[in-house]
Amino acid sequence: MTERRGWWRGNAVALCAVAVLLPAAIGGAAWWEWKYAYPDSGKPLWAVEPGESGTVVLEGAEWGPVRAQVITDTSGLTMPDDTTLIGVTVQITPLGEKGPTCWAPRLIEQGTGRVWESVRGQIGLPWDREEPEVCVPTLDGETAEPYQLLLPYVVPEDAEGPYRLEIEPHDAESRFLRFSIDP
Amino acid sequence: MTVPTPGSDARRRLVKAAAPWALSIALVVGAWGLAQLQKDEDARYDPFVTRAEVGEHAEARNIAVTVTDVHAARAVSDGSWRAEGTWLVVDLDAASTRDQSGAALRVTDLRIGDRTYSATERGTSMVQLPLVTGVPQHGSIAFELPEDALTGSATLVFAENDDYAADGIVEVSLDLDDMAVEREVRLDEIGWAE
Repeated sequence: MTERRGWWRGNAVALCAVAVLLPAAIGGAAWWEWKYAYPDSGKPLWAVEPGESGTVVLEGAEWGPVRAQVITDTSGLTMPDDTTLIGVTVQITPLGEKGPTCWAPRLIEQGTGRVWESVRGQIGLPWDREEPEVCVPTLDGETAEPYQLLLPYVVPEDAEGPYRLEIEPHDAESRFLRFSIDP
Repeated sequence: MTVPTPGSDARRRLVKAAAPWALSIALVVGAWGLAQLQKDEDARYDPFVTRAEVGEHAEARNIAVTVTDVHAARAVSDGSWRAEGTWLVVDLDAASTRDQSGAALRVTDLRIGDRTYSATERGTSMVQLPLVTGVPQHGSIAFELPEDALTGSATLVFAENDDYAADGIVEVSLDLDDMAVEREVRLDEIGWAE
């Protein structure tokens, strides 16, 4: 018994070091892996939602308000049968000299999780720089100005609101914008 | 007090010697049986296949396909581009079922025997066409084949990912034997399905 207590006492420093370093090594490695998997990769993880004003600030811009409505007058457009056209606009107000960039905004049916992207070309709307579908990058020598995204979504007739509009800005370290809409 | 008889003593020794052998044989036979039941090592990469016939709607994880018509032809065109050869032209409707982000008709293959052909990238076809969730688009794809390849049975393979290991895919079986070979077939214009 005395001999055993002697061993513990003799190795007290090393034991203390193990007690500190082992959790530190495990914790450090886990943190590193997690950082690599989330904020560094940019995979969307944390939703940023607008307040009462309908706007929210992220990545150097104020996003919103978002307006959505079912467009019933589709004359002049090539619409498929048994579908609904949902028009969504997003106001983007850059707060600095450069505007944010983003991936294509997605419309998500809350009930089923089905995802749509806007389809300008397929319904016969040619590309128009005044009606962008993704964030407009600010070129060198230009200053960013407020603008509006115009997003036409074609959804099948059985799709039902409410929906979420999700926008993933580039380099937002796994944060993304989420607006609830119910056109 | 019971006195052990010489007979029961000998039997106990026999059982003691035989038991490990019996157990070992049972384990070996059991392991062999398990190996027979076990799937191939690569089975975990197998796609989940939804099989359909021409004209039948088929859905897999994030892809829905209906092959509406199949033609064999000596020439194919899309109005501006034209090529002669041995062609198999497939008209189809396709959509994504869940997620439109990045969804496209990425794999359009034809398997005949142990050969696999990819649909031509020439002409205006549905190859690589971005898909819309729940809203099918119509168009065609075309396969250029060796002259004698239009025989026997064949399988069309449609997938939304280039690497469809463990993913849901659609396979449509075809019978090439009874197909009339047309002189020229035009690819259907890409648009919303009717």
